[in-house]
Amino acid sequence: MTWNIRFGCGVDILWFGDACGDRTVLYKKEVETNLDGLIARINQINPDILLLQEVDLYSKRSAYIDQMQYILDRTYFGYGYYGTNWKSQFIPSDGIGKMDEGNAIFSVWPLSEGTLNPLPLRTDVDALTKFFYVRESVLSGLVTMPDGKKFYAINTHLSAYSTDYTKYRQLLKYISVCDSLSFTGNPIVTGGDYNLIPPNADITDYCLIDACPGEHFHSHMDDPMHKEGSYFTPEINWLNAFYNKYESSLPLEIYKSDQPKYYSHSSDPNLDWNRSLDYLFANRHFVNGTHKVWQEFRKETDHAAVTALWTFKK
Amino acid sequence: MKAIGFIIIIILNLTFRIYGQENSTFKPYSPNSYILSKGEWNYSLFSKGEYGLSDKVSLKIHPVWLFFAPSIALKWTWIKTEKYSFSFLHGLSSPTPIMNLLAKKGTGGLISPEFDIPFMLCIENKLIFALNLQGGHKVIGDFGMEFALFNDKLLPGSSIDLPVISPRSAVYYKNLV
Repeated sequence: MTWNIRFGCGVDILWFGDACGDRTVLYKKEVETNLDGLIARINQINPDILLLQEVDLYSKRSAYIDQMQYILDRTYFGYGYYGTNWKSQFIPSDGIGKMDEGNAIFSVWPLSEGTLNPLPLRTDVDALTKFFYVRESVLSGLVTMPDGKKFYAINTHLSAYSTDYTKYRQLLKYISVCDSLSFTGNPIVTGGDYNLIPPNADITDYCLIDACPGEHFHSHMDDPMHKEGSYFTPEINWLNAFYNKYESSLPLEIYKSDQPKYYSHSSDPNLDWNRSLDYLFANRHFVNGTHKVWQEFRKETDHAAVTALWTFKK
Repeated sequence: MKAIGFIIIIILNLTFRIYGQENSTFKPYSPNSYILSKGEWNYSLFSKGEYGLSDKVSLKIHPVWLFFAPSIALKWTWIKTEKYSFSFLHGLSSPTPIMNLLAKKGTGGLISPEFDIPFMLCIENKLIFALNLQGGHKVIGDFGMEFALFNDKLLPGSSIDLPVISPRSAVYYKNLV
């Protein structure tokens, strides 16, 4: 299962960074309520391997809660890895302050060989912003099952707002990490929030859907012409590099046949899910027809959880 | 003399704020109990400068920061000998203007603009002692209390959790340090 939990912000709180809102710092009660909702869903779905994105540790915006420990204490997982993506003692912008956000792998079986692979930084921002901004990464761990079978679990979160080739460079690095672990002969299962839509998606431009009040796009007078993170047209083929190498839990032809069923994100909590950004891949086959996007969980975060069944022989 | 020694030990144990210091005009941080002579002055880049109003009373104020973070203090000598001295310091300050200035969107926003910063007035009262050592060195300690008065509640998320730059703002959130 993969899920971007949005640091326990939920969808009712309009965060300044991605929801046209004016909130930056959440109260402890708000974060705990939202985390409790997420945890209830995790315990309900009951996955063996859980890949989470946007997990906060002691960040000011999420009331300094250690979300790894909070989740471990309230779920059935006995093992977990955390890899930081965005760590700064103090971010002097918008009152963000102390930040530590990252990806996490939870497992019911023992984890070992935890590795954090940093991904390229954004190259479309100024030096000051780059210094304080997120460095996305790939987190991996070796899972050992009770019968001795081993496989690698790999989690990533690619840049949401880059407007140049940053995300493509991150994707290539991510694929190289998957390749290196796959070459060990062990099965790998990987997933995360790629911030990319499937190569055969019909809608590739969400600028107007995502526009905040007062924002204008697509006119020659508009600068920028497209909203950051909402214009996928130039990136539409990038994920082919992954589809060509690994098995997806959601084959492209299945996705094409009923796209809204597989949407996993919407930046506006008042709209239905309207794009697919969250994926599961492996170097072994998934069980046909088991890919599920948990669209019914709309209040927990701005992403829907994605699950699939995966089997492999020793 | 025994009583004076006892007081010094108590102050040391209560405050744990002890400074070593040399005599010089420029002091980045100078909680000295010594009062300047009338007309004499010390200055500092970050903390308040000091001006001797008389041989027993000095005024502490920062000429630039006064407009962003108003703060003023009076220091007066209680006991002064060649070996040691005791002074009292009474100060008033208001962090409201600087916090409002820093509560902004974008770069430089150390506080989220979602917070309304109430008017705050801080009252500081402190006893400072200085013990002269050999070679012009001093050991300085202080003991005091600071209270903050509000016209509204200051929400905890508005704090600037940055050591060194704003290390002493707990009074705004707990009403006492």
